[in-house]
Amino acid sequence: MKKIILMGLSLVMVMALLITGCNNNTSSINSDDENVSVTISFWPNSETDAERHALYDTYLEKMKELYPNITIIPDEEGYGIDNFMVLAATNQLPNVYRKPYTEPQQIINAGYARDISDIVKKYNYDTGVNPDIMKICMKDGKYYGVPYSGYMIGMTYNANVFKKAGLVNADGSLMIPTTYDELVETAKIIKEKTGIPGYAIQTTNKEGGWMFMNIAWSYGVEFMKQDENGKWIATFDTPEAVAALEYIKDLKWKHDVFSANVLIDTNELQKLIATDRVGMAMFGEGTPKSIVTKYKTDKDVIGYGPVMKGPKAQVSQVGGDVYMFSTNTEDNQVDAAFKWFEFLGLTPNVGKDYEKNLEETILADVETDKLIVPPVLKIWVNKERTSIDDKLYAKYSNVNPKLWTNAYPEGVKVQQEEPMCAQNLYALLSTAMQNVLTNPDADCAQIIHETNETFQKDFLDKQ
Amino acid sequence: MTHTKVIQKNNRAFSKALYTIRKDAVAWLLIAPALIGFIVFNWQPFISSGFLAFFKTKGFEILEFVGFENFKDVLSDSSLAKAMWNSCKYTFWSLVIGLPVPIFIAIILNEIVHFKGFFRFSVYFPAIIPGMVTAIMWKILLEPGTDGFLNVILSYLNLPNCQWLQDSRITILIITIVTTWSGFGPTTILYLADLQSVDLALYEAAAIDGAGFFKKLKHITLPHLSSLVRVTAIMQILGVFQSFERPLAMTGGGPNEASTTVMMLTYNYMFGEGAIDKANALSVMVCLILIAGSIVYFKMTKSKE
Repeated sequence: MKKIILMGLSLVMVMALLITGCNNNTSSINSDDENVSVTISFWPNSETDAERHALYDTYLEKMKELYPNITIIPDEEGYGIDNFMVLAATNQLPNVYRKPYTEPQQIINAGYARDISDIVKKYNYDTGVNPDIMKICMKDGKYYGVPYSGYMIGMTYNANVFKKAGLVNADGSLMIPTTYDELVETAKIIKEKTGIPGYAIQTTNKEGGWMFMNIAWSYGVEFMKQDENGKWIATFDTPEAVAALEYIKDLKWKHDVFSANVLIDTNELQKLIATDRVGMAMFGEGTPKSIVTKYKTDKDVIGYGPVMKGPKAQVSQVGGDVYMFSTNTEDNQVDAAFKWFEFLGLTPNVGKDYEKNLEETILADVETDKLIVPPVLKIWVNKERTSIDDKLYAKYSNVNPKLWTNAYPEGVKVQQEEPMCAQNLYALLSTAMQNVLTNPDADCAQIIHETNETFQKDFLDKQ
Repeated sequence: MTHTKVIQKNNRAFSKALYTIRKDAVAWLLIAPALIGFIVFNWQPFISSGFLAFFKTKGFEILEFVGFENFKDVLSDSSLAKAMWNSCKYTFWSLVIGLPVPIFIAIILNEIVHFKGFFRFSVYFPAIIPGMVTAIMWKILLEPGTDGFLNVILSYLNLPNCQWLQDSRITILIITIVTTWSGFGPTTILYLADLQSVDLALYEAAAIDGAGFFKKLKHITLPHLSSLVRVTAIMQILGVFQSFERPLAMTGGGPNEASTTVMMLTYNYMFGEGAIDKANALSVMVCLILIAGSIVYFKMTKSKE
């Protein structure tokens, strides 16, 4: 009897395990139904972004009134580097996911994004979006995504540090640098007068190389070109690239203005500038808002302005996020998602409620004491739309005008990502930066030569 | 043999097999969950990885058979030699530091008379903290600059500040020390259990012959532990060569790839570049290296015996 009970229990355990293991958590969507459901990821988090989450709940209700047959299924998951590939391979991605500008090409190449060309054209995104940004989601003339946000790189300042260093004009504005040479001088004053590192830059993962590109382009570096046979050639073994890397090295070893920690990612750097532990750092235009939200930094402490001028140019790289679709998404689901984008205002078209909805969104941020910053990079090229944006952001902007200068003045060149193997290039350049920041005897010319060779051999030659 | 006899023999064999299965049915059912888990989460990925290493893939979708192309591709990668060398360095330092520490601590614990429970808990305590937490905790303690925790202590002692993890000459050594700190507890308990099985009569006989602590250690304790040491050493080599999460959390493989391991390189292929074929090829190579290393090690220790 005891044996039979044991066997029965064991059988139950095994069945329970099998049933649990086999349970597929994805909701099945019947595209043939008149009713359509679509899962949208990167939904505002109910704990960390409760106010926006609540606002989106009201949006859901309004959307349901407008389109009773469409059900938007919110998904708060962000789908980062670790889980994205696995979920994509097992066909478990949500219908709509969000990715930074640096990833769409890799995702398209892996076959994890759906071609949405027809619907993009139907909703006028092909003509209504800044073409340089739309290119990020394109391959072989087909569209695989639409922009969600966009930003340019600029310089962020900590006003407390500047005040301690006496770098404040009579009118209360900050004495900010305009060139990379002036940046060094300003950083030296900060270090001398306060002991706080004047400047720091990201150096880890691919972020270091990504930021370094802004400096290198401003020094006149050309990273690659195509020869007459169509083969890509690495072309940055040049004095300009060496000078740009020497600039990074000198920040640490000659001028001693760099932070003690030289293995820094964006999160760490945000923390340093939010807590008065570094004077200046390069970030995208959305970062000051994140700093104020995440670290509760006083809005009057964070300043922002354009990237520095280099010897040859003043270059700012663009960044941002795009919405893409999993391959198992049906046509009517894509269409439903585009109707949701239209409703939210993530569209080149100006709907009847666009202005009202945008104002509500901004007001929700005002109420929660978030930083309201007029966007610098224009994703949409529809003048009717941009004029509404400009009007509302001017009305509600709460940045301190003395700390905030136009991050996109005349003369700033907006630069897209390099055309081939950009992510690999960033990784190699991050390593080069780490090399010169940890070794006072590092030979910049040799490092650039080796990096150029490695990039050619390991990546461009294999295309 | 007649046809009837063959049938009778087959029936007997079948009945015997059925009897064996019925006799062990409960045991099979009890281990089934673990067995299924092992097959699904260990063997299946292992076999799939080995299979996919010979194909060009788009994501996980097989495009075409390419033979050893993926292996050639990985072998021509400039980062591979550095990552391999770093993994060897991790293994070397873990054998130099990580192997003797638990033996040493176990011997001390075995000699302690008072507060045994407290000391055993203290030794085991770091092991109950999740690996990522210890990595981040040590990363904070090892912050370079004058405001870093350990540097503040050095300054207090009038010693020069250290760059710690950012000094590429000692990065691997520090990560190995942190790994040892967080992982030596369970191994120590194993050694301690083994030490307590030593026949006390041997120590008494040695004492009568005039042997002191070190002689007893050399001639009784260490020989007794040797088989366990051999097993833990091979486990350590297998584990440390595949170091991943601590270097990733503490340095991200830097500075200047000074702490990048082969498993981090595999991770970068897989998740950084989406090159699943290359990631599989490198996994197979690591597996072969470890199998070869294990065979050599067992041969060496066997011949020594």
